[in-house]
Amino acid sequence: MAVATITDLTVRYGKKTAVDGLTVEIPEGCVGLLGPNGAGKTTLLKTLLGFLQPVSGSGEVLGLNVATDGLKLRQKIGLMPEIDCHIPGMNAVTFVAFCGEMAGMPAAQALRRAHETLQYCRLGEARYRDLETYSTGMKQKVKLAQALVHGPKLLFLDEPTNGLDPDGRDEMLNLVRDVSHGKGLNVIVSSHLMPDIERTCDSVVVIRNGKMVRQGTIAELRTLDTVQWTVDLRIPSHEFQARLVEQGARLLSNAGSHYRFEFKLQPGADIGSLMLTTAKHVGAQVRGFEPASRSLEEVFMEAIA
Amino acid sequence: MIEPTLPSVPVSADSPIADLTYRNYDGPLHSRAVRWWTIAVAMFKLHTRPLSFKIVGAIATLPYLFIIALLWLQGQIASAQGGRPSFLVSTGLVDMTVGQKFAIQFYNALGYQLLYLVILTLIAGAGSIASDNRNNALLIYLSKPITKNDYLLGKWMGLFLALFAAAFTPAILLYLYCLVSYYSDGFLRDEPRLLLHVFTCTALAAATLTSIMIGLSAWSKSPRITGAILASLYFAGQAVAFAMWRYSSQGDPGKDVILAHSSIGGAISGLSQGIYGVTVHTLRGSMRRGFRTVDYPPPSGTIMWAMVLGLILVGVVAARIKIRAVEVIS
Repeated sequence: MAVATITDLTVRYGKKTAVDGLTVEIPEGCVGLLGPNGAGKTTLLKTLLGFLQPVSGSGEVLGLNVATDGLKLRQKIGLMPEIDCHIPGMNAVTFVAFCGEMAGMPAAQALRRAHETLQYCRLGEARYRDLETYSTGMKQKVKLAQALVHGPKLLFLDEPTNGLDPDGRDEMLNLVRDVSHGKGLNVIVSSHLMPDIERTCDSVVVIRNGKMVRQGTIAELRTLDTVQWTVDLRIPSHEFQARLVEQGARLLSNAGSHYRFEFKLQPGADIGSLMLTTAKHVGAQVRGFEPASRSLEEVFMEAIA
Repeated sequence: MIEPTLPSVPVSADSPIADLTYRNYDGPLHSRAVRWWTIAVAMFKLHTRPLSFKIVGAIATLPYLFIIALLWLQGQIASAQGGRPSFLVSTGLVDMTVGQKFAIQFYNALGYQLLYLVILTLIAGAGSIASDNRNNALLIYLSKPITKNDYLLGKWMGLFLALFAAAFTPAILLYLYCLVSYYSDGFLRDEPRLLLHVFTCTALAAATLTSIMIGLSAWSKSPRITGAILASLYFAGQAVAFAMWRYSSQGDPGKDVILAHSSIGGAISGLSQGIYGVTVHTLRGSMRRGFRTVDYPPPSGTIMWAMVLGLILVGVVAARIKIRAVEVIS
């Protein structure tokens, strides 16, 4: 079942078209919204929240129309914005509880949830500190907590690791991964950082110039159309490479003793035996070999090329 | 894909909340109609928290305490002189005219207090929306299930309640003092609607200042600049209006009175005078040429209402136009 269904959606800022006839179905689970800067990712999220009115097309999120059911939608959605944002003069508990109350929670419930979500987001005792004194990492966590406090069914995370150091990034990605798997919460992560998406998401939607250019599960997208294997030798061997090419393999890349070959073989052919035999024949030592897959970065670069 | 390490659950002694796993919320929810009130209450708490607000708020009670002291002194002197009016009456500080004996004191006190209300507005309201603009807080507010009208109403009400509390609390103290001290002298009989007038005048003063401040604040990202603009509008506007009136009236205090009230403070003062229905008597002149009593009747009520309601409307509409979740550059 799709969390969001977008049909021919166009959003413009004056003459500039940010989202251009986008049609996409966003599945359940944790979905990465990928695209280069200015691709229209943030505009799409803002349109889905009802902040921007589309020029044409339509969108449904959790079965609600984005153009007419903005309030009902925002009841079910939590937004963690990309930019630094907080309400000045409040500490984290007050801020998150206030956000819960604005979402309709009774004050006592909102306060209880605020403590829970802040603890969950690893803010601990720092939750009593004024937000102005927070580091960038802590501010990111508070933004996540305020998005979670009212128990949304769908979470929009816009560049969740923005400005975080490696430890902070690691912690944030763990939280995103945890909240999006097995908690009944769907998550859309907008980012241009492939490792973040790869680590947290199950599927991705790639956008370029406001249009969808690639969609699928990460496993599907990484699958290669041809049979490719990578081989690691103990020391580089030109003979090994030449011998395999003679036998119909095509060398795709070579970095030191690391080779990547494409094979045009009959189904059921034993590539492992072929490589081991070839290595034995030329006197090369094989450290390891495995079927090759594309990295998400390669998928992304292909999609936006 | 790298399998992440899930956050470990600490032992209960390390944390006040033992179970740190995420849980969905499926509890009760209030209807949307009351959510503006949530913002109003939060803003009221934020506005009234600074020490500066409390200090100026305390100072703002002084005009009413002064009036209490004045009335008490008048009573003491009058009883000592066998009921004859004291010098306080001849100097115009106390007005014994039946029907406005107390109303004029409330009118004067509000006039004195207005300066402090403006300072309180600057302290509490300058950052009301400007700080939200600066900290991108609108994105937080409007990503929740509230409309921008809810946001505006909440912000407006939060500031209004803070100012109204500062204006009305000392006024009600003075009213209670008068009720206790002058009940047998016909306080309720002579001025039966005084409490309603006190409520209306203080509410209108707070509403006018709130609306102008909210309107200015929505267009800025800097609370200081917003405060400076309001202060300029208030004080410079008053000075210009007064200078124009002096020039226009050519020494006739009854002429072009509306001009004297063509400022924020002037409009509030003029409308209050009309609502209390008091004629102000003041001594004019000098020791050399002698003194004379000059009467200032209330200015046209219609025009004053139009001015004050216009100011309130302009402020609210200005804020309404500017409030957006995202900055859209066309």
